[in-house]
Amino acid sequence: MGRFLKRIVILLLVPVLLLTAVYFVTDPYKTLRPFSLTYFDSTNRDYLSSELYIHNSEEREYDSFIFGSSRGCGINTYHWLKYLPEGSKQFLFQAWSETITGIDQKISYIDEHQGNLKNAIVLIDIPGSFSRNQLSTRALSIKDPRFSHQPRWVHQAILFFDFLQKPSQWIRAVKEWVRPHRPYVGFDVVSNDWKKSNRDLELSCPPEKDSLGNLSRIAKAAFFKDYVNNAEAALPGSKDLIDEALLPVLNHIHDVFQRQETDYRIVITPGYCYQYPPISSRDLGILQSIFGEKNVFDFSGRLDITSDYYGFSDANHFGLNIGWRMIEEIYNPGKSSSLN
Amino acid sequence: MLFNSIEFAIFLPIVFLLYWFVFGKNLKLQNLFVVVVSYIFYGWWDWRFLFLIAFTSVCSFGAGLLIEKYRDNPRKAKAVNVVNIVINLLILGVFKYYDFFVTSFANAFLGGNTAGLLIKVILPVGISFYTFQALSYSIDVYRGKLEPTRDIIQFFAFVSFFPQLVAGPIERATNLLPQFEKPRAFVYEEGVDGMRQILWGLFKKMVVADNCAIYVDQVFSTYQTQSGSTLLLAAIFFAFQIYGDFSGYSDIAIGTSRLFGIKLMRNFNVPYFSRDIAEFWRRWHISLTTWFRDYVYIPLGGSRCSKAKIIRNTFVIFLVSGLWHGANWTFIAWGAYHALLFLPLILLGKNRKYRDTVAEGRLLPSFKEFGQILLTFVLVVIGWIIFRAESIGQAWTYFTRICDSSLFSMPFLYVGTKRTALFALLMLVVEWLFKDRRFAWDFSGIPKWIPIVSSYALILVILEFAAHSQSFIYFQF
Repeated sequence: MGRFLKRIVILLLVPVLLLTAVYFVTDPYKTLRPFSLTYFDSTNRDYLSSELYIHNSEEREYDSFIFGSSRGCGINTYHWLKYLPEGSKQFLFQAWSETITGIDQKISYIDEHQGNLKNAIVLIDIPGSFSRNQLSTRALSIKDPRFSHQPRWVHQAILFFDFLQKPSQWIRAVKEWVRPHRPYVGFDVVSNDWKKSNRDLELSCPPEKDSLGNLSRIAKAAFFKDYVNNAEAALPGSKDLIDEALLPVLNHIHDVFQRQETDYRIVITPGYCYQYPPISSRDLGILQSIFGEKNVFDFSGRLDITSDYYGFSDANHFGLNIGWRMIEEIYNPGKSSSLN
Repeated sequence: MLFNSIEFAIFLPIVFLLYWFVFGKNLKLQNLFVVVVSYIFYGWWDWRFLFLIAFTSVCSFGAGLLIEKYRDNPRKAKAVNVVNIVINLLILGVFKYYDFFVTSFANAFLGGNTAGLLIKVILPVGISFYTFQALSYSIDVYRGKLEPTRDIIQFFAFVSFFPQLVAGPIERATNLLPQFEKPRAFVYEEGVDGMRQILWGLFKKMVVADNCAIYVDQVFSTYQTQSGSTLLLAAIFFAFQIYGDFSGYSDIAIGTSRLFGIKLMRNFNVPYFSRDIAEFWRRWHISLTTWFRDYVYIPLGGSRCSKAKIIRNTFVIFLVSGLWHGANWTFIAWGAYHALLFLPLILLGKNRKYRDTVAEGRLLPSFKEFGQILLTFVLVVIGWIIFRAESIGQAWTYFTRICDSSLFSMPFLYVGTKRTALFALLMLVVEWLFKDRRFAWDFSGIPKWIPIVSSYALILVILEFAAHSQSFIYFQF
């Protein structure tokens, strides 16, 4: 028995100790050392977006925000700026797998810290935004403890254990530590936009990997072709997702917007996979009754939008072309009739 | 509690240490500890159903004692045995089949009106497994194959032993109960083998089965719009999914038991390398197949009777086996389909033709063997379409859509589909290489560094490529 336990302990402990050292040396999720503007990391985006906001907010005095998940990467905030009053200062508050509760927490934080919310776009993903699981246990999508009120040590522990479980993160951490600059991943240090368009990202990254989905370009084209051919028939049915617990959250967002006299748009984003059904008419009705019909824009299940290959990024994300068209439509309703 | 959960990863080492270091010196306490942790393991899912396991255990334990008491009065002993069987099957029937039969009856005779007739109770996890295990005890005592135990703790440990409580192997009292009767000693080699078998089971479940499930679920939910080649690929993936899922569970269960000094029976023996259907059924879910053979097929006369009875017995065993898997006509049809495949072999006396392992001691099979394996696999995959479908109609549509001209188009590959296929292939290759051993990843007699490096590599694959955790398919049976 002693021999068995000794062997198990050695075989498990040695790699764990080694990985712990790697973790503390490389700081893969950028949470162990003070924030730096060079932290263009694509994981832990909730925390790093918040870090950038907090770091810049005093100097920049942001007043225009886009809240949402990784789908926010498909929107260029500088394009949005054209529709905002002169002098507006925009910030893309992106967090992977963002939920409506996460958005509410960010809005509350800005509001409670005397921030201005003159303009806002809230991006809603179906079904992710209405997820019941509010606190992710994955480093990719974990919530910033300053907003979620999760104890900091729990946040750190989750990141550490998640790191231990993902060999690709070990390699990434070491690679970035050895060679910190990756030309194909970056965020605007002012607005928090993806630095380049997705198509540019594709051109500058190794051909077998694209910016978001790790899809080869050929596989990506094949996926898209198949999606377009099957999308209409395979479009999944809607489910009612907004439950009683989410109503106060939505009402709170509305109340803050009302109080701040925010010019806002609630945008339900389109997706490509079978997991992304259109919003149900009941849920759409709830959003419209809370935020007003004129402020809610539904792009979910809109095949006329998602059938544009140049707006396709990967199975989960639309690209800048679609982001551009959506902004056009929501600020010029009726004008872009081709999208309706 | 799922084997592939963080809860189990914490539960197992704690139980292991307490089992050997705190309760290891007192057999009674050790058995009591097994019962307690097994009930915690099961109760993690729903504690209310613990009463059901306890009731099943008490009934079979009591039946064993009464049968022994009436040993000189065969009629009374038989009556006790029959009553125990009826009680257990009644419980199983109510929880698992009542709504199904009522709905089927209503559809046939009441125009589908089931108002006020259904009980809609949730299916207790693993009820079919522990019921059959408990039944084997009282039947074996009745047949005189086993002395009844007078130690109720031992008996409770036998019925509820947590590694195999919810999805088997369905152990025989003749194998498992005696192991609770004598002190157990930790054997280093068994412990190491146990860890390796757990690791291989986790790979099969978390990497192969759970990744296959993503593709299978997507295709089966949109089967009406998919091409024939896509449907065929999904059916093949389902074959790997159900094998990875169920045999993976069995590997984890057997490996875990080894850590506790308990040897469970082998439940899968490379079934996809079978050369005919009869061989497939000797290698697939062995504990259930042999259970039905010993307690249903042979009492009915087996194959030593008239041809008409052989046909009847074959259909009975396969239909009952299908029904055991679930309350749906698809399972019964699946059983009937396998009965039809099995019948020619048994009628021609060729059902025992392949009792050895294919290409034993050889690296590659002959062309003939390869062709036989391929044909058997295709037949099994067709069966899996019936098994996986939600209705007979869906299975039929699915099958006819496979057979149209789109079968020769490129299948629709989702993100990660090719990678999943590679993992399934890796599973097959490893199982082929280890087919003559007790389990895949059995490195006994091989230089030490090979299992260490291979196991680290396997851990990396599991960590990196495990799909989102899914429950085990066989929990619902």
